[in-house]
Amino acid sequence: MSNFAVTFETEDGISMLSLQGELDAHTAEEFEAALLHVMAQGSNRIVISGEHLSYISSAGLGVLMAHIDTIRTTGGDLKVAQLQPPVAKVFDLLGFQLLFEIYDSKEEALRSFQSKGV
Amino acid sequence: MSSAVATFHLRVVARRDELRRIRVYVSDSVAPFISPPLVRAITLAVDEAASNVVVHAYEGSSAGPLDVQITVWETRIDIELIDEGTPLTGFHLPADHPPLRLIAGKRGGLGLPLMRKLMDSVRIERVGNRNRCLLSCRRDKI
Repeated sequence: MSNFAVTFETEDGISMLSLQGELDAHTAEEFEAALLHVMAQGSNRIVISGEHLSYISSAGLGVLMAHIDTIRTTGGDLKVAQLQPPVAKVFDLLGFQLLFEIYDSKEEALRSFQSKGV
Repeated sequence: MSSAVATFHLRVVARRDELRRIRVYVSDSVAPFISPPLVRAITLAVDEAASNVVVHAYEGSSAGPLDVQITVWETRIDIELIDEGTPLTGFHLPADHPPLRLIAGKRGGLGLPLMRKLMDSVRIERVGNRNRCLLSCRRDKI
């Protein structure tokens, strides 16, 4: 039984995936399946919430890297919000803030889609 | 020559569903000797190294053993991961390794740069029919 879960919400046409627990090479497959699920439903405006994500390794970050190009090619984007400090540190170590917009709150991430008309 | 302050050893089957067990073992073992941020850094570095073994060393074959040996010295911590999988060629770090370039669409290649940022030194070598990864850092690193 994995120590990881994904919950789904939609707000104003924006898909929000809330990650809980630990995202590693074992649970990355589950995360990717969830991301592909919302993409298959036609969603290309996606917020990943890390409020309850306690751990991430490069496998989890690799899922984001694998699909960001596809999402942006369709005119959408994937944004990240509410990272716990240890998880934010990992994003920072690899320079992910240069490739992804990272927000302190879900609300800010949602507003960023609306203000850019994406 | 100084003697070790403490040593710890874990042997697991190198499967994805064992990665969490490795992390818990490593963090519990080193926690009494170093700061909480360094516990997290070492745990992540070991997880990255163990993931390499699971994904690459035993790729396409049945999982084999992975030994995790932790040695706490007066001023540093060494973690050694040894597996009996296929050679981890391509993981040997060149002396003048280039900086990481994030490439959208490319999922892999993040683990080694992350290990290098987290630890003072990372060495991956082939010893006989085994891969050996040695991670090392100062106890007062952070």
